[in-house]
Amino acid sequence: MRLLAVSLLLLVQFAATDAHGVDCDASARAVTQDLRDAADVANQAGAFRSAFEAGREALLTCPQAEPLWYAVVRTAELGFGTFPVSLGGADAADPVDAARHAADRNPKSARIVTVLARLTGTVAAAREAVALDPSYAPARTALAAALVHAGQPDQALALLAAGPDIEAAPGTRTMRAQALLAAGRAGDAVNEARRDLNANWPNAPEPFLIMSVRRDAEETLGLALLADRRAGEAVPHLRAAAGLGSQTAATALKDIKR
Amino acid sequence: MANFDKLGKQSKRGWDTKTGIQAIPVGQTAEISLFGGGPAPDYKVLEVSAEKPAICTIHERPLHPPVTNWRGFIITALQKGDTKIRAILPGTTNEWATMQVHVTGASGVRLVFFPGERLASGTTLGTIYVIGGKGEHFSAAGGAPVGYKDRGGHTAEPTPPGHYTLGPKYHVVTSSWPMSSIPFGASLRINAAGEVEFQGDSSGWQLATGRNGVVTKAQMAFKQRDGVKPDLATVIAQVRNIFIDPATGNLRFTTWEKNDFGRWGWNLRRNGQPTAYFVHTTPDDERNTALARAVFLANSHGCVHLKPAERDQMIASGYLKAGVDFEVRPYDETGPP
Repeated sequence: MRLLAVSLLLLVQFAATDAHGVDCDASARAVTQDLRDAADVANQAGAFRSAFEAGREALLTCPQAEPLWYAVVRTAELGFGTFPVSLGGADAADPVDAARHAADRNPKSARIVTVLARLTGTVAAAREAVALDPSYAPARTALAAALVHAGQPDQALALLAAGPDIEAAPGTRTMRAQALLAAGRAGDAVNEARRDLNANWPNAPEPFLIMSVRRDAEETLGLALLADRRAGEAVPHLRAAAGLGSQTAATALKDIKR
Repeated sequence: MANFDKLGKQSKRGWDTKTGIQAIPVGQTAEISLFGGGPAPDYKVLEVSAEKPAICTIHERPLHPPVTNWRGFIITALQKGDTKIRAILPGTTNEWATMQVHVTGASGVRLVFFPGERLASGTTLGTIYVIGGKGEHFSAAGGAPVGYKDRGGHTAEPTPPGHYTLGPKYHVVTSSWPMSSIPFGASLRINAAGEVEFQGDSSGWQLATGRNGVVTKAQMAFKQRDGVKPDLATVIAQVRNIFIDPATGNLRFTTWEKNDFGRWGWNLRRNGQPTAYFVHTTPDDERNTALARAVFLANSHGCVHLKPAERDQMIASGYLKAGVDFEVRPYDETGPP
Protein backbone atom coordinates (compact mmCIF):
# COMPACT_ATOMS: atom_id res chain seq x y z
CA MET A 1 0.00 0.00 0.00
CA ARG A 2 2.79 2.36 0.97
CA LEU A 3 4.63 1.49 -2.24
CA LEU A 4 1.51 2.29 -4.22
CA ALA A 5 1.18 5.65 -2.51
CA VAL A 6 4.82 6.53 -3.22
CA SER A 7 4.42 5.42 -6.82
CA LEU A 8 1.32 7.57 -7.23
CA LEU A 9 3.12 10.54 -5.70
CA LEU A 10 6.03 10.11 -8.10
CA LEU A 11 3.62 9.81 -11.01
CA VAL A 12 1.88 13.05 -10.02
CA GLN A 13 5.22 14.82 -9.67
CA PHE A 14 6.37 13.49 -13.03
CA ALA A 15 3.18 14.68 -14.69
CA ALA A 16 3.54 18.16 -13.23
CA THR A 17 7.14 18.71 -14.25
CA ASP A 18 8.77 18.84 -17.64
CA ALA A 19 12.03 17.27 -18.81
CA HIS A 20 14.00 20.15 -17.26
CA GLY A 21 12.42 19.66 -13.85
CA VAL A 22 10.33 22.81 -14.18
CA ASP A 23 7.09 22.80 -12.19
CA CYS A 24 4.65 23.35 -15.04
CA ASP A 25 1.61 23.29 -12.75
CA ALA A 26 3.09 26.18 -10.77
CA SER A 27 3.74 28.12 -13.99
CA ALA A 28 0.18 27.46 -15.13
CA ARG A 29 -1.27 28.54 -11.78
CA ALA A 30 0.75 31.78 -11.82
CA VAL A 31 -0.30 32.71 -15.35
CA THR A 32 -3.91 31.78 -14.68
CA GLN A 33 -3.89 34.04 -11.63
CA ASP A 34 -2.45 36.88 -13.73
CA LEU A 35 -5.41 36.47 -16.10
CA ARG A 36 -7.89 36.47 -13.18
CA ASP A 37 -6.29 39.58 -11.68
CA ALA A 38 -6.92 41.41 -14.97
CA ALA A 39 -10.62 41.55 -14.07
CA ASP A 40 -9.96 43.98 -11.21
CA VAL A 41 -6.95 46.03 -12.27
CA ALA A 42 -7.12 49.56 -13.67
CA ASN A 43 -4.83 48.88 -16.62
CA GLN A 44 -6.32 45.78 -18.24
CA ALA A 45 -4.25 46.23 -21.39
CA GLY A 46 -1.04 46.04 -19.40
CA ALA A 47 -2.24 43.02 -17.44
CA PHE A 48 -3.16 41.12 -20.60
CA ARG A 49 0.11 42.01 -22.29
CA SER A 50 2.01 40.75 -19.23
CA ALA A 51 -0.04 37.53 -19.18
CA PHE A 52 0.81 36.96 -22.86
CA GLU A 53 4.51 37.41 -22.15
CA ALA A 54 4.43 35.24 -19.03
CA GLY A 55 2.56 32.52 -20.91
CA ARG A 56 4.91 32.68 -23.87
CA GLU A 57 7.96 32.40 -21.63
CA ALA A 58 6.48 29.51 -19.63
CA LEU A 59 5.62 27.62 -22.85
CA LEU A 60 9.35 27.43 -23.59
CA THR A 61 9.71 24.86 -20.82
CA CYS A 62 6.11 23.63 -20.56
CA PRO A 63 4.89 23.27 -24.16
CA GLN A 64 2.04 20.92 -23.22
CA ALA A 65 0.36 23.09 -20.57
CA GLU A 66 -3.18 23.96 -21.69
CA PRO A 67 -3.57 26.94 -19.27
CA LEU A 68 -0.46 28.54 -20.75
CA TRP A 69 -1.69 28.08 -24.32
CA TYR A 70 -5.09 29.48 -23.36
CA ALA A 71 -3.54 32.53 -21.69
CA VAL A 72 -1.43 33.22 -24.76
CA VAL A 73 -4.16 32.81 -27.38
CA ARG A 74 -6.88 34.61 -25.42
CA THR A 75 -4.65 37.64 -24.77
CA ALA A 76 -3.50 37.56 -28.39
CA GLU A 77 -7.14 37.50 -29.49
CA LEU A 78 -7.75 40.57 -27.35
CA GLY A 79 -4.92 42.32 -29.21
CA PHE A 80 -2.06 42.01 -26.74
CA GLY A 81 0.30 39.55 -28.41
CA THR A 82 3.49 40.40 -30.20
CA PHE A 83 3.91 38.63 -33.54
CA PRO A 84 5.61 36.82 -35.15
CA VAL A 85 6.54 34.74 -32.13
CA SER A 86 7.75 31.27 -31.20
CA LEU A 87 5.27 29.45 -28.96
CA GLY A 88 6.15 26.14 -27.38
CA GLY A 89 8.53 25.35 -30.22
CA ALA A 90 6.15 26.41 -33.02
CA ASP A 91 6.37 29.62 -35.03
CA ALA A 92 3.22 31.72 -35.05
CA ALA A 93 2.84 34.55 -37.57
CA ASP A 94 -0.33 35.99 -36.03
CA PRO A 95 -3.04 35.23 -33.44
CA VAL A 96 -4.85 32.82 -35.81
CA ASP A 97 -1.65 30.88 -36.30
CA ALA A 98 -1.09 30.83 -32.53
CA ALA A 99 -4.63 29.55 -31.91
CA ARG A 100 -4.14 26.81 -34.53
CA HIS A 101 -1.00 25.62 -32.75
CA ALA A 102 -2.80 25.80 -29.40
CA ALA A 103 -5.75 23.77 -30.73
CA ASP A 104 -3.41 21.20 -32.32
CA ARG A 105 -1.75 20.66 -28.93
CA ASN A 106 -5.02 20.82 -26.98
CA PRO A 107 -7.76 19.44 -29.26
CA LYS A 108 -10.12 18.75 -26.34
CA SER A 109 -9.93 22.27 -24.89
CA ALA A 110 -13.27 23.94 -25.61
CA ARG A 111 -11.96 27.36 -24.60
CA ILE A 112 -8.97 27.18 -26.94
CA VAL A 113 -11.04 25.86 -29.84
CA THR A 114 -13.54 28.67 -29.11
CA VAL A 115 -10.80 31.27 -29.46
CA LEU A 116 -9.76 29.68 -32.76
CA ALA A 117 -13.39 29.69 -33.92
CA ARG A 118 -13.79 33.40 -33.15
CA LEU A 119 -10.53 34.27 -34.87
CA THR A 120 -11.38 32.33 -38.04
CA GLY A 121 -15.08 33.20 -37.91
CA THR A 122 -16.21 29.96 -39.51
CA VAL A 123 -19.38 28.09 -38.56
CA ALA A 124 -17.57 24.73 -38.75
CA ALA A 125 -14.92 25.75 -36.23
CA ALA A 126 -17.54 27.16 -33.87
CA ARG A 127 -19.62 23.97 -34.12
CA GLU A 128 -16.50 22.03 -33.15
CA ALA A 129 -16.09 24.20 -30.05
CA VAL A 130 -19.73 23.72 -29.05
CA ALA A 131 -19.42 19.96 -29.56
CA LEU A 132 -16.49 19.86 -27.14
CA ASP A 133 -18.51 21.51 -24.36
CA PRO A 134 -22.12 22.49 -25.09
CA SER A 135 -22.36 24.14 -21.66
CA TYR A 136 -19.51 26.59 -22.40
CA ALA A 137 -21.37 29.83 -23.22
CA PRO A 138 -18.51 31.49 -25.19
CA ALA A 139 -18.56 28.54 -27.61
CA ARG A 140 -22.26 29.08 -28.25
CA THR A 141 -21.83 32.84 -28.69
CA ALA A 142 -18.94 32.16 -31.09
CA LEU A 143 -21.27 29.95 -33.13
CA ALA A 144 -23.96 32.64 -33.05
CA ALA A 145 -21.48 35.24 -34.33
CA ALA A 146 -20.39 32.91 -37.14
CA LEU A 147 -24.02 32.26 -38.08
CA VAL A 148 -24.74 35.99 -38.29
CA HIS A 149 -21.71 36.37 -40.52
CA ALA A 150 -22.96 33.46 -42.65
CA GLY A 151 -26.37 35.11 -43.11
CA GLN A 152 -28.32 32.93 -40.69
CA PRO A 153 -29.40 35.44 -38.02
CA ASP A 154 -32.49 33.49 -36.92
CA GLN A 155 -30.38 30.49 -35.93
CA ALA A 156 -28.03 32.84 -34.13
CA LEU A 157 -30.90 34.40 -32.17
CA ALA A 158 -32.04 30.97 -31.07
CA LEU A 159 -28.56 30.26 -29.70
CA LEU A 160 -28.48 33.62 -27.94
CA ALA A 161 -31.80 33.12 -26.15
CA ALA A 162 -31.52 34.68 -22.70
CA GLY A 163 -30.28 32.46 -19.89
CA PRO A 164 -27.97 32.97 -16.92
CA ASP A 165 -24.89 31.55 -18.64
CA ILE A 166 -25.46 33.48 -21.87
CA GLU A 167 -26.13 36.74 -19.99
CA ALA A 168 -22.91 36.24 -17.98
CA ALA A 169 -20.85 36.34 -21.18
CA PRO A 170 -19.71 39.89 -22.04
CA GLY A 171 -21.15 41.45 -25.18
CA THR A 172 -23.95 38.92 -25.74
CA ARG A 173 -26.56 41.63 -26.08
CA THR A 174 -24.45 43.38 -28.69
CA MET A 175 -24.23 40.12 -30.57
CA ARG A 176 -27.99 39.69 -30.28
CA ALA A 177 -28.37 43.22 -31.64
CA GLN A 178 -26.15 42.32 -34.60
CA ALA A 179 -28.33 39.28 -35.30
CA LEU A 180 -31.48 41.40 -35.07
CA LEU A 181 -29.94 43.94 -37.40
CA ALA A 182 -29.05 41.21 -39.88
CA ALA A 183 -32.65 39.95 -39.62
CA GLY A 184 -33.92 43.40 -40.57
CA ARG A 185 -35.24 44.23 -37.08
CA ALA A 186 -33.37 47.53 -36.58
CA GLY A 187 -35.67 48.89 -33.88
CA ASP A 188 -35.23 45.79 -31.72
CA ALA A 189 -31.47 45.90 -32.40
CA VAL A 190 -31.31 49.47 -31.05
CA ASN A 191 -32.98 48.44 -27.78
CA GLU A 192 -30.73 45.42 -27.36
CA ALA A 193 -27.46 47.21 -28.19
CA ARG A 194 -28.13 49.97 -25.66
CA ARG A 195 -28.07 47.47 -22.82
CA ASP A 196 -24.37 46.66 -23.21
CA LEU A 197 -23.34 50.31 -22.84
CA ASN A 198 -23.80 50.05 -19.06
CA ALA A 199 -23.90 46.33 -18.28
CA ASN A 200 -21.45 44.53 -15.98
CA TRP A 201 -20.24 40.95 -16.13
CA PRO A 202 -18.93 40.04 -12.66
CA ASN A 203 -19.08 36.30 -13.41
CA ALA A 204 -17.73 36.33 -16.95
CA PRO A 205 -16.69 32.86 -18.16
CA GLU A 206 -13.52 34.19 -19.79
CA PRO A 207 -11.18 37.18 -19.44
CA PHE A 208 -12.41 40.19 -21.39
CA LEU A 209 -11.40 43.76 -22.15
CA ILE A 210 -14.18 46.11 -21.07
CA MET A 211 -13.09 48.84 -23.50
CA SER A 212 -13.59 46.66 -26.56
CA VAL A 213 -16.97 45.41 -25.31
CA ARG A 214 -18.15 49.03 -24.93
CA ARG A 215 -16.65 49.95 -28.32
CA ASP A 216 -18.53 47.12 -30.05
CA ALA A 217 -21.74 48.09 -28.25
CA GLU A 218 -21.38 51.72 -29.39
CA GLU A 219 -20.61 50.63 -32.96
CA THR A 220 -23.56 48.24 -33.15
CA LEU A 221 -25.92 50.79 -31.60
CA GLY A 222 -24.77 53.42 -34.11
CA LEU A 223 -25.25 51.07 -37.06
CA ALA A 224 -28.65 49.96 -35.75
CA LEU A 225 -29.77 53.58 -35.41
CA LEU A 226 -28.57 54.29 -38.95
CA ALA A 227 -30.53 51.31 -40.23
CA ASP A 228 -33.54 52.63 -38.30
CA ARG A 229 -33.14 55.95 -40.20
CA ARG A 230 -32.06 57.85 -37.08
CA ALA A 231 -28.76 59.23 -38.35
CA GLY A 232 -28.75 62.15 -35.92
CA GLU A 233 -28.90 59.78 -32.96
CA ALA A 234 -26.39 57.42 -34.56
CA VAL A 235 -23.58 59.96 -34.94
CA PRO A 236 -22.54 60.30 -31.25
CA HIS A 237 -22.44 56.52 -30.86
CA LEU A 238 -20.43 56.06 -34.05
CA ARG A 239 -18.08 58.83 -32.91
CA ALA A 240 -17.64 57.10 -29.56
CA ALA A 241 -16.93 53.77 -31.28
CA ALA A 242 -14.49 55.40 -33.72
CA GLY A 243 -12.75 57.14 -30.81
CA LEU A 244 -12.26 53.74 -29.19
CA GLY A 245 -10.74 52.33 -32.39
CA SER A 246 -13.64 51.09 -34.57
CA GLN A 247 -12.79 51.39 -38.27
CA THR A 248 -16.33 50.35 -39.19
CA ALA A 249 -17.73 53.29 -37.23
CA ALA A 250 -15.18 55.67 -38.75
CA THR A 251 -16.20 54.56 -42.24
CA ALA A 252 -19.91 54.91 -41.42
CA LEU A 253 -19.29 58.46 -40.20
CA LYS A 254 -17.53 59.36 -43.45
CA ASP A 255 -20.45 57.93 -45.42
CA ILE A 256 -22.90 60.06 -43.40
CA LYS A 257 -20.88 63.22 -44.19
CA ARG A 258 -21.07 62.41 -47.90
CA MET B 1 2.15 74.66 -53.85
CA ALA B 2 2.08 75.41 -50.14
CA ASN B 3 2.93 78.25 -47.77
CA PHE B 4 2.64 79.28 -44.12
CA ASP B 5 0.69 82.40 -43.22
CA LYS B 6 -1.71 83.87 -40.70
CA LEU B 7 -5.36 83.23 -41.39
CA GLY B 8 -8.45 85.11 -40.22
CA LYS B 9 -8.25 86.14 -36.58
CA GLN B 10 -4.95 84.38 -35.84
CA SER B 11 -2.72 86.77 -33.86
CA LYS B 12 0.03 88.39 -35.93
CA ARG B 13 2.04 89.22 -32.83
CA GLY B 14 5.71 88.35 -33.44
CA TRP B 15 5.01 87.43 -37.06
CA ASP B 16 6.99 89.00 -39.90
CA THR B 17 5.14 88.34 -43.14
CA LYS B 18 8.07 89.41 -45.35
CA THR B 19 10.67 87.13 -43.79
CA GLY B 20 8.34 84.37 -42.63
CA ILE B 21 9.80 84.53 -39.10
CA GLN B 22 7.65 83.99 -36.00
CA ALA B 23 9.13 85.27 -32.72
CA ILE B 24 7.77 83.63 -29.55
CA PRO B 25 8.85 83.98 -25.90
CA VAL B 26 9.74 80.69 -24.16
CA GLY B 27 6.62 78.95 -22.90
CA GLN B 28 4.28 80.92 -25.14
CA THR B 29 2.39 79.74 -28.20
CA ALA B 30 1.66 81.13 -31.64
CA GLU B 31 -0.91 80.09 -34.21
CA ILE B 32 -0.02 79.63 -37.88
CA SER B 33 -1.78 78.19 -40.90
CA LEU B 34 -0.61 76.19 -43.88
CA PHE B 35 -2.11 76.65 -47.31
CA GLY B 36 -2.01 73.85 -49.86
CA GLY B 37 -0.74 70.29 -50.04
CA GLY B 38 1.35 67.97 -52.13
CA PRO B 39 1.38 67.85 -55.94
CA ALA B 40 -1.51 66.82 -58.19
CA PRO B 41 -3.19 64.48 -58.68
CA ASP B 42 -3.48 63.25 -55.08
CA TYR B 43 -2.56 66.46 -53.18
CA LYS B 44 -1.12 64.48 -50.27
CA VAL B 45 -1.38 65.95 -46.79
CA LEU B 46 1.99 67.47 -45.89
CA GLU B 47 3.81 66.52 -42.67
CA VAL B 48 4.64 69.55 -40.53
CA SER B 49 7.38 69.52 -37.90
CA ALA B 50 10.20 71.57 -36.38
CA GLU B 51 13.71 70.90 -37.68
CA LYS B 52 15.03 71.30 -34.10
CA PRO B 53 12.31 69.83 -31.86
CA ALA B 54 14.15 70.96 -28.72
CA ILE B 55 13.42 74.61 -29.65
CA CYS B 56 9.71 74.36 -30.34
CA THR B 57 7.01 71.86 -31.17
CA ILE B 58 4.12 72.24 -33.60
CA HIS B 59 0.71 70.57 -33.48
CA GLU B 60 -2.21 70.65 -35.86
CA ARG B 61 -5.28 72.33 -34.41
CA PRO B 62 -8.50 72.18 -36.46
CA LEU B 63 -9.66 75.51 -37.86
CA HIS B 64 -13.10 76.59 -36.65
CA PRO B 65 -14.83 76.96 -39.01
CA PRO B 66 -12.84 74.90 -41.54
CA VAL B 67 -11.38 76.83 -44.48
CA THR B 68 -10.87 75.04 -47.79
CA ASN B 69 -7.19 74.22 -48.51
CA TRP B 70 -6.02 75.62 -45.14
CA ARG B 71 -4.87 73.78 -42.00
CA GLY B 72 -4.36 75.34 -38.58
CA PHE B 73 -1.34 74.77 -36.31
CA ILE B 74 -0.12 75.88 -32.90
CA ILE B 75 3.58 76.36 -32.15
CA THR B 76 4.77 75.92 -28.54
CA ALA B 77 8.13 77.51 -27.67
CA LEU B 78 10.28 75.23 -25.47
CA GLN B 79 13.67 76.94 -25.13
CA LYS B 80 15.66 79.87 -26.52
CA GLY B 81 16.95 79.39 -30.07
CA ASP B 82 16.01 79.31 -33.75
CA THR B 83 14.57 76.57 -35.90
CA LYS B 84 12.90 76.00 -39.21
CA ILE B 85 9.36 74.63 -39.46
CA ARG B 86 9.01 72.39 -42.49
CA ALA B 87 6.05 71.03 -44.40
CA ILE B 88 7.29 67.98 -46.29
CA LEU B 89 5.79 65.40 -48.57
CA PRO B 90 5.33 62.16 -46.55
CA GLY B 91 8.12 59.68 -47.16
CA THR B 92 10.43 62.31 -48.67
CA THR B 93 12.62 65.20 -47.54
CA ASN B 94 11.07 67.56 -50.10
CA GLU B 95 10.14 70.83 -48.39
CA TRP B 96 6.93 72.25 -49.78
CA ALA B 97 6.73 75.14 -47.34
CA THR B 98 9.01 76.51 -44.62
CA MET B 99 9.01 79.22 -41.97
CA GLN B 100 11.38 80.22 -39.16
CA VAL B 101 10.72 80.31 -35.43
CA HIS B 102 12.79 82.56 -33.16
CA VAL B 103 12.31 81.68 -29.47
CA THR B 104 13.35 84.35 -26.99
CA GLY B 105 13.70 84.79 -23.23
CA ALA B 106 13.69 82.25 -20.43
CA SER B 107 11.21 80.48 -18.18
CA GLY B 108 11.03 78.33 -15.09
CA VAL B 109 10.33 74.65 -15.64
CA ARG B 110 6.83 73.83 -16.88
CA LEU B 111 5.45 70.67 -18.41
CA VAL B 112 2.98 70.68 -21.31
CA PHE B 113 1.16 67.47 -22.19
CA PHE B 114 -0.43 66.94 -25.60
CA PRO B 115 -2.52 63.77 -25.02
CA GLY B 116 -3.96 63.31 -28.51
CA GLU B 117 -0.88 63.41 -30.71
CA ARG B 118 -1.27 60.07 -32.47
CA LEU B 119 -3.06 56.72 -32.54
CA ALA B 120 -0.83 53.64 -32.40
CA SER B 121 -2.24 50.10 -32.24
CA GLY B 122 -5.48 51.30 -30.71
CA THR B 123 -3.81 53.52 -28.09
CA THR B 124 -3.97 57.31 -28.20
CA LEU B 125 -0.47 58.43 -27.35
CA GLY B 126 0.89 61.82 -26.44
CA THR B 127 4.02 63.59 -25.30
CA ILE B 128 5.01 65.73 -22.33
CA TYR B 129 7.23 68.63 -23.42
CA VAL B 130 9.56 70.41 -21.00
CA ILE B 131 9.48 74.19 -21.16
CA GLY B 132 12.41 75.99 -19.60
CA GLY B 133 14.57 72.89 -19.63
CA LYS B 134 16.75 71.53 -22.39
CA GLY B 135 13.91 70.91 -24.80
CA GLU B 136 13.33 67.33 -23.64
CA HIS B 137 10.13 65.45 -24.29
CA PHE B 138 8.72 62.26 -22.78
CA SER B 139 6.16 59.69 -23.95
CA ALA B 140 2.86 59.64 -22.09
CA ALA B 141 -0.70 58.34 -22.44
CA GLY B 142 -3.67 60.19 -21.02
CA GLY B 143 -7.23 59.07 -20.43
CA ALA B 144 -9.23 57.24 -23.06
CA PRO B 145 -10.07 59.68 -25.86
CA VAL B 146 -13.76 58.80 -25.51
CA GLY B 147 -15.45 58.14 -22.18
CA TYR B 148 -16.95 54.78 -21.28
CA LYS B 149 -18.26 53.02 -18.21
CA ASP B 150 -15.69 50.72 -16.65
CA ARG B 151 -15.80 48.14 -13.86
CA GLY B 152 -16.12 48.85 -10.16
CA GLY B 153 -18.10 52.06 -10.67
CA HIS B 154 -15.25 53.70 -12.55
CA THR B 155 -15.43 55.57 -15.83
CA ALA B 156 -12.62 56.02 -18.31
CA GLU B 157 -12.50 59.56 -19.65
CA PRO B 158 -10.18 61.96 -21.46
CA THR B 159 -7.74 63.83 -19.21
CA PRO B 160 -9.41 67.24 -18.81
CA PRO B 161 -7.45 70.04 -20.50
CA GLY B 162 -6.28 72.88 -18.30
CA HIS B 163 -3.59 74.12 -15.95
CA TYR B 164 -2.55 72.01 -12.98
CA THR B 165 0.27 71.93 -10.43
CA LEU B 166 2.06 68.73 -9.43
CA GLY B 167 1.55 67.56 -5.87
CA PRO B 168 4.34 65.78 -3.95
CA LYS B 169 5.66 62.37 -4.97
CA TYR B 170 4.13 59.53 -2.96
CA HIS B 171 2.93 55.92 -3.05
CA VAL B 172 -0.71 56.34 -4.10
CA VAL B 173 -3.17 54.30 -2.04
CA THR B 174 -6.90 54.17 -2.74
CA SER B 175 -9.58 51.66 -1.87
CA SER B 176 -11.43 52.42 -5.12
CA TRP B 177 -9.17 49.92 -6.93
CA PRO B 178 -8.59 46.68 -4.97
CA MET B 179 -4.95 46.31 -6.00
CA SER B 180 -4.26 49.92 -4.97
CA SER B 181 -5.37 49.48 -1.38
CA ILE B 182 -1.77 48.48 -0.57
CA PRO B 183 1.14 50.83 -1.32
CA PHE B 184 3.60 49.82 -4.02
CA GLY B 185 6.68 48.23 -2.48
CA ALA B 186 4.98 47.20 0.78
CA SER B 187 6.38 44.09 2.49
CA LEU B 188 4.08 41.07 2.78
CA ARG B 189 3.95 38.25 5.31
CA ILE B 190 1.60 35.51 6.47
CA ASN B 191 0.55 35.96 10.11
CA ALA B 192 -0.08 33.25 12.70
CA ALA B 193 -3.74 33.06 11.66
CA GLY B 194 -2.71 32.33 8.09
CA GLU B 195 -3.79 35.73 6.75
CA VAL B 196 -1.63 38.03 4.66
CA GLU B 197 -0.40 41.26 6.20
CA PHE B 198 1.41 44.19 4.62
CA GLN B 199 3.61 46.94 5.95
CA GLY B 200 3.62 50.26 4.11
CA ASP B 201 5.68 53.39 4.55
CA SER B 202 4.66 54.54 7.99
CA SER B 203 2.12 52.26 9.57
CA GLY B 204 2.60 48.89 11.26
CA TRP B 205 1.48 45.59 9.83
CA GLN B 206 -2.08 45.62 8.46
CA LEU B 207 -4.37 42.86 7.25
CA ALA B 208 -4.67 42.43 3.48
CA THR B 209 -6.73 39.24 3.28
CA GLY B 210 -9.53 37.70 5.31
CA ARG B 211 -12.82 39.21 6.39
CA ASN B 212 -11.19 42.44 7.64
CA GLY B 213 -8.42 42.68 5.08
CA VAL B 214 -8.14 45.96 3.17
CA VAL B 215 -8.05 44.18 -0.19
CA THR B 216 -11.09 42.10 0.71
CA LYS B 217 -13.02 45.20 1.70
CA ALA B 218 -11.95 47.06 -1.43
CA GLN B 219 -12.91 44.07 -3.60
CA MET B 220 -16.35 43.83 -1.96
CA ALA B 221 -16.97 47.54 -2.56
CA PHE B 222 -15.66 47.25 -6.14
CA LYS B 223 -18.21 44.55 -6.92
CA GLN B 224 -21.03 46.30 -5.06
CA ARG B 225 -20.48 49.39 -7.20
CA ASP B 226 -21.11 47.13 -10.19
CA GLY B 227 -24.56 46.49 -8.79
CA VAL B 228 -23.93 42.93 -7.66
CA LYS B 229 -24.19 41.41 -4.20
CA PRO B 230 -20.91 39.59 -3.78
CA ASP B 231 -20.62 36.55 -1.57
CA LEU B 232 -18.13 37.41 1.17
CA ALA B 233 -16.71 33.88 1.38
CA THR B 234 -16.10 33.84 -2.38
CA VAL B 235 -14.40 37.23 -2.32
CA ILE B 236 -12.24 36.19 0.65
CA ALA B 237 -11.10 33.13 -1.32
CA GLN B 238 -10.47 35.16 -4.49
CA VAL B 239 -8.43 37.76 -2.64
CA ARG B 240 -6.43 35.07 -0.85
CA ASN B 241 -5.51 33.59 -4.23
CA ILE B 242 -4.03 36.90 -5.32
CA PHE B 243 -1.39 36.56 -2.60
CA ILE B 244 -1.09 32.85 -1.83
CA ASP B 245 -0.54 29.93 -4.18
CA PRO B 246 -3.29 27.51 -3.07
CA ALA B 247 -1.21 24.50 -4.06
CA THR B 248 1.70 25.36 -1.77
CA GLY B 249 0.22 27.73 0.81
CA ASN B 250 3.17 30.06 0.20
CA LEU B 251 3.15 33.75 -0.71
CA ARG B 252 3.41 34.28 -4.47
CA PHE B 253 5.65 37.32 -3.73
CA THR B 254 6.93 39.06 -0.64
CA THR B 255 6.78 42.64 -1.96
CA TRP B 256 3.59 44.22 -3.29
CA GLU B 257 4.15 45.49 -6.83
CA LYS B 258 0.58 45.37 -8.15
CA ASN B 259 -0.59 48.82 -7.07
CA ASP B 260 -2.36 50.30 -10.12
CA PHE B 261 -0.46 53.59 -9.78
CA GLY B 262 3.00 52.05 -10.04
CA ARG B 263 5.83 53.01 -7.73
CA TRP B 264 5.18 56.76 -7.50
CA GLY B 265 2.33 59.13 -8.21
CA TRP B 266 1.93 62.92 -8.36
CA ASN B 267 -1.52 64.40 -8.02
CA LEU B 268 -2.59 66.97 -10.60
CA ARG B 269 -3.78 69.77 -8.34
CA ARG B 270 -6.10 72.48 -9.63
CA ASN B 271 -6.58 75.81 -7.87
CA GLY B 272 -4.74 74.39 -4.89
CA GLN B 273 -7.10 71.41 -4.57
CA PRO B 274 -6.38 67.76 -5.35
CA THR B 275 -8.14 66.21 -8.35
CA ALA B 276 -8.90 62.61 -9.28
CA TYR B 277 -5.98 62.66 -11.74
CA PHE B 278 -2.39 61.57 -11.19
CA VAL B 279 0.83 61.33 -13.15
CA HIS B 280 2.07 57.78 -12.63
CA THR B 281 3.31 54.53 -14.16
CA THR B 282 1.55 51.15 -14.15
CA PRO B 283 2.59 47.94 -12.37
CA ASP B 284 2.98 46.05 -15.65
CA ASP B 285 5.21 48.74 -17.10
CA GLU B 286 7.26 48.69 -13.88
CA ARG B 287 7.64 44.92 -14.15
CA ASN B 288 8.44 44.97 -17.86
CA THR B 289 11.06 47.66 -17.28
CA ALA B 290 12.65 45.59 -14.51
CA LEU B 291 12.72 42.56 -16.84
CA ALA B 292 14.11 44.63 -19.75
CA ARG B 293 10.95 43.89 -21.79
CA ALA B 294 9.31 46.39 -24.12
CA VAL B 295 6.98 48.89 -22.45
CA PHE B 296 3.65 49.74 -24.09
CA LEU B 297 1.80 52.72 -22.67
CA ALA B 298 -1.97 52.30 -22.33
CA ASN B 299 -4.73 54.87 -22.03
CA SER B 300 -5.91 55.46 -18.49
CA HIS B 301 -9.14 56.46 -16.76
CA GLY B 302 -8.01 60.11 -16.89
CA CYS B 303 -4.55 59.96 -15.32
CA VAL B 304 -1.29 60.48 -17.21
CA HIS B 305 0.74 57.30 -17.71
CA LEU B 306 4.53 57.51 -17.96
CA LYS B 307 7.22 54.97 -18.82
CA PRO B 308 9.12 54.01 -15.64
CA ALA B 309 12.56 54.74 -17.11
CA GLU B 310 11.43 58.17 -18.32
CA ARG B 311 9.74 58.82 -14.96
CA ASP B 312 13.12 58.23 -13.29
CA GLN B 313 14.80 60.54 -15.80
CA MET B 314 12.23 63.26 -15.13
CA ILE B 315 12.72 62.92 -11.37
CA ALA B 316 16.49 63.15 -11.75
CA SER B 317 16.13 66.28 -13.91
CA GLY B 318 13.88 67.95 -11.35
CA TYR B 319 10.86 68.01 -13.67
CA LEU B 320 8.60 65.77 -11.61
CA LYS B 321 8.30 67.45 -8.23
CA ALA B 322 5.77 69.32 -6.14
CA GLY B 323 4.90 72.76 -7.43
CA VAL B 324 5.81 72.24 -11.11
CA ASP B 325 3.17 73.61 -13.52
CA PHE B 326 1.56 70.92 -15.66
CA GLU B 327 -0.63 71.93 -18.57
CA VAL B 328 -2.91 69.47 -20.39
CA ARG B 329 -3.77 70.45 -23.95
CA PRO B 330 -6.93 69.39 -25.80
CA TYR B 331 -7.02 66.01 -27.57
CA ASP B 332 -7.73 67.56 -30.97
CA GLU B 333 -4.23 69.08 -31.14
CA THR B 334 -2.42 66.35 -33.06
CA GLY B 335 0.99 65.50 -34.46
CA PRO B 336 3.87 66.17 -35.01
CA PRO B 337 4.67 63.12 -37.17
